[in-house]
Amino acid sequence: MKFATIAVKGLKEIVRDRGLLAMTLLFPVVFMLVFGYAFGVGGGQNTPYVIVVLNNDSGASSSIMGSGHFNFGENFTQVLRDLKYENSTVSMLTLQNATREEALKLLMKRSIACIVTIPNNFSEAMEATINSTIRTTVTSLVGETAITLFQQTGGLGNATFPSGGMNFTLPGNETLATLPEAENITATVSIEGDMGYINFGTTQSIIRGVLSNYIETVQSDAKKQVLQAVPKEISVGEDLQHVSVDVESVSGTKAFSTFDYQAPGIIVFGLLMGSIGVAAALARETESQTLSRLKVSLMRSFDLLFGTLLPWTLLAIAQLLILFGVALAIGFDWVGGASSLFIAIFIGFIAGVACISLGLLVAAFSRSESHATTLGILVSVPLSFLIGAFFPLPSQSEVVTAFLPWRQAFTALTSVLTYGARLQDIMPNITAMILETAVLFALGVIAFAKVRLKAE
Amino acid sequence: MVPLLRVEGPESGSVAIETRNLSKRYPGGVLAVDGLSLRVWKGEVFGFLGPNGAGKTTSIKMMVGLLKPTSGEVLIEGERIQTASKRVKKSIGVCPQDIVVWSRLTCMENLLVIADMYEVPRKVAVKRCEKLLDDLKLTDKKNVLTSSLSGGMKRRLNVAMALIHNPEIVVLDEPTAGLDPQSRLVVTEYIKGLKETKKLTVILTTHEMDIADQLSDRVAIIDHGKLLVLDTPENLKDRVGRGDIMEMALNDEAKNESVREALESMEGIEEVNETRGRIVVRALDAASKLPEIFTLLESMEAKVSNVSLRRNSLEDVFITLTGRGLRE
Repeated sequence: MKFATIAVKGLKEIVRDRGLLAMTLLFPVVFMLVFGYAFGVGGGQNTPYVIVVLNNDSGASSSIMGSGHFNFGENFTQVLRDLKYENSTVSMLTLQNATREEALKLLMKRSIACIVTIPNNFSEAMEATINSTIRTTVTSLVGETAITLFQQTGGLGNATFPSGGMNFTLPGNETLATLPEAENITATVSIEGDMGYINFGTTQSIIRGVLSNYIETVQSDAKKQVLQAVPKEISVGEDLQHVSVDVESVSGTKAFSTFDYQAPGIIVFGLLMGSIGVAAALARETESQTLSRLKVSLMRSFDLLFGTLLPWTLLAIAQLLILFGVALAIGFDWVGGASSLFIAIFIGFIAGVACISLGLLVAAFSRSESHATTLGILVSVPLSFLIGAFFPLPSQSEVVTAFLPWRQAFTALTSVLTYGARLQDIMPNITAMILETAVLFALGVIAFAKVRLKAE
Repeated sequence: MVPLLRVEGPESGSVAIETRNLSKRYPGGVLAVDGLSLRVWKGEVFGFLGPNGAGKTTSIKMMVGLLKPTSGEVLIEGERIQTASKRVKKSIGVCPQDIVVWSRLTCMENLLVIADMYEVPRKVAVKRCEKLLDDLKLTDKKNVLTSSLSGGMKRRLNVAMALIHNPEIVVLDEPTAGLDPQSRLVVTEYIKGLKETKKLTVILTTHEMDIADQLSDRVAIIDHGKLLVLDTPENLKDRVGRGDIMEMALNDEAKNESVREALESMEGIEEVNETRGRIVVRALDAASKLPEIFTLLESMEAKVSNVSLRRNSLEDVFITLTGRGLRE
């Protein structure tokens, strides 16, 4: 396996070339520290985000929120309006009144962070959620068979669940009757915005968390009411504590600092710096003629290129972990859990391959190591700015940079590490990144093989 | 300048490398090699001589497949180099003119990388590495990074890297360039050993005439990309004139021309040339001519500042062919 020999050789050369290693690993670390202390230390900005909420909810008859008609959409809107920064009296969101058309225009101008649209069946779906919760809670306590038996024999009297509320008073009256039916209704709250806009990333994360928390709270209230209504003597050994609802804090309600947005960008910048190392290493092979020595041997282009890919990919992953560790150490607010780190490593792996591909392209057109280093810097540093690694970009430029895998990597890393997005949330970015990297790698391999690996 | 000689040389044995009307014109328009046709026999040491820029390295690069010829072709054991089989590629070992080693690898690691590239089994490769390092007096540097080796040691490692896969044809491009006398001796003795004990075909480019004379079975001299002569060193020296060479420098170089003309008319003098300000006289028995020559010089009031007498060499062959010295 000649590629393995090339890979081991490359790894030894990387490790023994202290200058190159320092430049590749430490330079981005220095950037991380500088940006961390410049924009991170001292806390974040408690500035409200402006959003538009379009509440189309037509309401529903509620069993738990008191008798009569209840509009959960309005209630949820109020929850959003009342949301405050952690340990602060400053509101997180400012709700602007606008029609959908107006909101879209505001969104295009980035005057608002996002548009939240509450569907017309939101209350019905919430009601269905409550009924489902009641049913699940009661059955878990007394068992479906017992309920059916009680209902058939009237053994506990003739209590009913009034449709308008939870007047479920068993003790004394011993009434138990029809459980509410959980209808199969679903509603989707849509959050629209510009994926490349930091404020959208933040607000969508917050609103998603608030919605999740809202649903859990409503479910929790329903459970509590059921548990208060059902006598202990008919419960099957269940303890109230065992059915308590664990309400988690909403991600993103802490104040974000500018550094929280920049850290993933600096990680991508670090990976891009790796392309300079790849280009320099390959150009050195050309300049020192060791490439000629390899060319006259039985080595194939694949062996050289795959053998080069392996150590630099390892370095890219190491770099991602180092930079992430440094970012955490100086106050990066990591929202995702351990799984987000694995996703980030995967993103780093793909971005690393993209950087190596860029290095191949640079090396193909470089006459010497110094030429490759200069050319590499000339390409990778502006690219870092172009993808918004350091500062947010105007929305127009994102149309162009969307075709760059590093832009996708930056967006995906920010979503995962800063906003706590799940894998499925960033699949479009990952898919685009893989496709773009494949194209770039093919270009790099073709250019390098044609220019450097063929007989001159 | 005498008319150029074209000699095919003795036909013997089977062909290891053949070039047919090989030419290379670089993008800038420079014609580096111009219609080179020659055959290298199996088991011979083939000296490839010429001054810097004569086209030796370009020819060698085309022979091993690193450069694409503008026209003509190279055949290695009958196969075109551009489409050569694995067996043929494996049969060639190349020691480039420059020192081509990975500076951040040790001597052993350098050799093992190349051995892997030629698919030499690891156990065999390790044994060969140790033998080569021993033969080229590098054993104690086995695990030393090549960046800390001296120039001579690096060049010896350069030679070892061409031989790690036991090739049948070895191309050594200026293997002794810039070597100290000790390293030069080690390398020349090793090349002699390749010829005598391993019966390898060796293509040796150099502009050091004594090395070529000492090691080569046949010598090709090229200049401006053209093959001037190809023959055994002895035949070449005989062809351009037998005898001794007397070189002298006059105090007053202005008299060189008149002295040269006077010497040419002397009986028993085969040839007189002026090279690098020195008068070069070839005569069958130059020592016996010395008194007569000095008498002539005295009569012309030309004072000699320096004089030397030596046997005819390949450099003289080159001077005769081109009218200038190898390093001019």
